[in-house]
Amino acid sequence: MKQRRDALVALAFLAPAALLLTGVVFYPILQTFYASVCEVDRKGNPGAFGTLKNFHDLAASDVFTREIVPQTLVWTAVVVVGTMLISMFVALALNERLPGRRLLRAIVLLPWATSLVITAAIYTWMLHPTQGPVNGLLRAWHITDTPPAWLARPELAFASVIAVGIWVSIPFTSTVLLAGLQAIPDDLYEAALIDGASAWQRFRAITLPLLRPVLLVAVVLNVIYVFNSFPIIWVMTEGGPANQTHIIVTWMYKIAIREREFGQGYAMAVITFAFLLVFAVVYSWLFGREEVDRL
Amino acid sequence: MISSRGQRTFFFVGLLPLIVIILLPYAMMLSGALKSPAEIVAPEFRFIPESPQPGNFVEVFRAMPLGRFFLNSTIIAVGTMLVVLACAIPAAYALGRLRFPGRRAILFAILTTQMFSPIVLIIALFSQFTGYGLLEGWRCYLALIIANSAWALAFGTWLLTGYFATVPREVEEAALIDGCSRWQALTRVLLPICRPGVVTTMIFAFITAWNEFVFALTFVPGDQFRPLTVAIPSFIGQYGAQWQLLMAAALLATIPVVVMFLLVERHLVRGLSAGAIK
Repeated sequence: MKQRRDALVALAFLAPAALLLTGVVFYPILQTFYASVCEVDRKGNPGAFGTLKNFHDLAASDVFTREIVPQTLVWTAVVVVGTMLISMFVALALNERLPGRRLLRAIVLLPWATSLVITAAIYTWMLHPTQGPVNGLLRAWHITDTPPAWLARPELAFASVIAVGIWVSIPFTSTVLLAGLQAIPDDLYEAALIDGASAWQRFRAITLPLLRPVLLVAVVLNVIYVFNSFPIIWVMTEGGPANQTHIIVTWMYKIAIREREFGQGYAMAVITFAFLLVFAVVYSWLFGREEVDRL
Repeated sequence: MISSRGQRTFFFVGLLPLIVIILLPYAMMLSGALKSPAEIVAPEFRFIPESPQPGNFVEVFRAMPLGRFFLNSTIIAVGTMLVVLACAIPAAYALGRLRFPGRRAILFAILTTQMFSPIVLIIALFSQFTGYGLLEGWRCYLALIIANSAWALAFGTWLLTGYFATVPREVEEAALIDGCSRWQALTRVLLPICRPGVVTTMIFAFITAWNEFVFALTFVPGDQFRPLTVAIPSFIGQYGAQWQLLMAAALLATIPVVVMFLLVERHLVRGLSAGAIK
């Protein structure tokens, strides 16, 4: 009796959240999949069902297959690897009893609280060829009299957005890794110290193996976030010059929202889903179930 | 963690350049925001402005309708905060306190929504919201509040479920025996105890909406409804080389959320990183 009343109360209490998530997340997912195999009109409404035309168009596009896809993979791989390496160092450092530790931790978190758009706008100014502070400093310090146009040359523009991508990913990643480090019991290190293990040996034998699950989670989450990252590239280069800094999600936005080719846009959304689904499955397999059990 | 003095020195010396790199854009933003129109375009950059111009922070409200953009961002962020509270509190109560079939499946479904990104759903949402007439005039506020709320909901629900779970059942059962309804037990007993969790959820929802970009870029029909995140980058180039005004606007738009973030930093960090640590 009590259980049935509880179930009714639960139904009422969950209704607002369920309604919101159904309308804004779950239903649009279904529509995305459905529309990707439909003919889609210029307003984004799905028409006749049962065609692979959208995917064919995409596969036939040289820009998509030869530039956008490889660029997305490079962007994701370099940003995630760079973020992990730097964040690992930051987390190890913040785990030490350093002077001003609380202040240092707050500073490391700062980019997290700043809007990606504001960050990207600041960097756009910083890298401006004639009026930006970066080139201004290169000139003031007499490093070079002809500093480069950072966002106008493809390889430099790509390197620049990647650097900013790493910069914004460090706070979250180092926070997760730091929490993982703090969960490692101190007596393990004490025992290793008594046995005469060096700092490097302690890192290899204790820190890395015990941190492995947290490292995996951090990598998976970062792959998902970075693969989907839109504002930095959109604000700093809008995919240019000559599409050389586009990744799938920025290309999708340009094709669908700007150029009204909604069909191809839906197809790209589905491809992104498929890629991320693999990672989401790995993620929930690593951690999701246990977390749900704990609550 | 125990470590030698040498090890601490190694990490400290290695961390300092990274701290400088993290702070550099903020320092340049502040420096730029205080420069005169002549100095901002000087070929050589100096951190300390020759004659600091605090008047830039007033001037920027005249050069662009910055007040209006602040109002738009505030409407969207406060609306999101309210919708998230209205949805997350009862949901978290049901998930943390009640026993019913399908509880774990629902919790799991809510958590999975965090795995999706707004960008992949933007096309479907755009065509749907256009169909409902939500992308015309002031109604875009509603579109943005609804969309942002859905994306802040998973974290809010999850954080609050954790907070509710820490309160002993007896506290609430006493209220139920005294004749309180479930709703009264929630609002009069549980919520006051879990105030840090509620405040953290509110601030998280506010920051999420304040900093959001993709929805705002897509849903907002005209200049007068733009929030700061869409308005500020649109001024790159548009006002010639008036970078000092752009940086002043960027700084003003950043301060409220950074202050809020620092207020609940510990609770937020615990919630966000607990997600990754068992």
